[in-house]
Amino acid sequence: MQTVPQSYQNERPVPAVAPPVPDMLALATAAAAGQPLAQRQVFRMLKRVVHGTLYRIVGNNRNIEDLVQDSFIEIYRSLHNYRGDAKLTTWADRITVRVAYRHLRRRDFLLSDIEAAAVWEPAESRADAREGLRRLYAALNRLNPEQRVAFALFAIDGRSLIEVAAVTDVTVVTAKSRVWRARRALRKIAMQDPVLSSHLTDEEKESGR
Amino acid sequence: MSGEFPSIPPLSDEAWLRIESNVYSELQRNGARVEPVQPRAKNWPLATLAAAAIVALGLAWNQNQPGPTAPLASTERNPAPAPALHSGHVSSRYITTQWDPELLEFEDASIDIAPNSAVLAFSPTAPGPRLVLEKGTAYFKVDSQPQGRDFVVQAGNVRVRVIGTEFSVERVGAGARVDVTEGVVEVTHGDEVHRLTAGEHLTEGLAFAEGLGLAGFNEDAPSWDAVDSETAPPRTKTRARANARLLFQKAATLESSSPKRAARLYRMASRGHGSWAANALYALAMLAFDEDQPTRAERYLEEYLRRFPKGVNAVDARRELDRDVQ
Repeated sequence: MQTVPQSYQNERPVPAVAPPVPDMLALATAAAAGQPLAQRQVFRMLKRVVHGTLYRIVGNNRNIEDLVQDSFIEIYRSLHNYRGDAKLTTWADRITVRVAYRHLRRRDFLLSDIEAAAVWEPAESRADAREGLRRLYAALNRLNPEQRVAFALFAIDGRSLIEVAAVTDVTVVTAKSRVWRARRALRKIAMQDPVLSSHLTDEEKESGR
Repeated sequence: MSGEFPSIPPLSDEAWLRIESNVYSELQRNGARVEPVQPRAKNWPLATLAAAAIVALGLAWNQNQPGPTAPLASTERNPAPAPALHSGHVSSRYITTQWDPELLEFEDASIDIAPNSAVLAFSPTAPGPRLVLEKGTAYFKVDSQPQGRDFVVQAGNVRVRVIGTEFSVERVGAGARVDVTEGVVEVTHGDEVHRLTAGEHLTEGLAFAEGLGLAGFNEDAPSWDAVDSETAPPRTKTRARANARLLFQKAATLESSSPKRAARLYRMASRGHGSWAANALYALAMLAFDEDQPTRAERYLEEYLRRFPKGVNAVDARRELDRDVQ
């Protein structure tokens, strides 16, 4: 007889049928009306998206709690405007990006915040890769917020240009243009940085001349 | 830059509890604004009402035989669905565009009509061509046709038979230029028949002023290919650039919601010369990449470098092609 492993003995059995996807508009309406269960469900649904977007833009978890908090406050305050014509996660992402813009423009963070990124690292990361990431975000600090956000979402977070455009509320051509300009600027900065330049491909080094 | 980025380090459960608690406290303190979600009011665009009024006055419709006055095909200006047409009833519709493109939809085809164009469209059951392109440019996306039925476009003295494809036709003098994006079309001029496949284009019928007895043809209609010639009047060049700009702007607004239509409009805008045409061609290449069509994107980039070697995106275009080669 097959015994159930100890770690699974207290878990609930997996339902045979996947639970239904909640109606986003109904959920948003209920949360906007102040229903605690709906608010908690919205929070659980959006927390990873909000954190992930902010992390990719800012580059570290230091002081990110404040940003996550600000984003959720904005999201809850705007829920009554949600019309269900976009996914709730996409809609919330737009708000999160706006909060990120405000943060970047205020330059609330210091360069030391970027250095703090080196504190949290998985043990298996190479030292130069950690340093490269730190310097990348330091270089991103030198871009304007629009280019930084577009680059972070596209190149670091791996989103498509269509998604970046939707979240930053611009056309795809504008999003593309911002990413290209950010790339060109970062390439120039990287060429002058011995650590960053070691991460450039030969073509990138050649085109940066 | 090369390399993958590390995964996002999660926040601790304590941090999440803290955040959630602070959020709810803040909302309670300041009173989150809660308004009931209002159902969207039905919005009848003015253009739709105007089109309906025009239909009612019978100004927009040209019927060859007595029959229903219902719309032949739906367009943006008149989105009512096309009724089933019975044999014996032949309806036609004359459409002119000025500043904005127009989308004409049949059950088996959708046609983007560029600004400053004029077309005569016929019902699917009518014999002869489905559409006569009198002036300007139209971009077609046509489903494969059933046996015994042809989708034919007449443009000056050039006849285009569609075998299920995506293509554009532009009036050039007495003839036409045909560009095929997808599928196969057959182009006939006099006794010559050409089959074009994806990526090919053909300009036919320019040297001949022979008409086909079809009324209303304007052999002097300006074409985008001719606008930069020394003999083209300045007003024609200005109008062509304005068309390219309008098409580009329209396409840009459609990229997120309707990328295929945006691509068709970019294609039309890219026909001309000048910066708007260049931007449109580059945007077309980027869209093709986004739609996971690298072969098509490469073709557009190569065309860009051929036509606009010193364009603002030329460096990026070369870079993209080099990357694809690898």
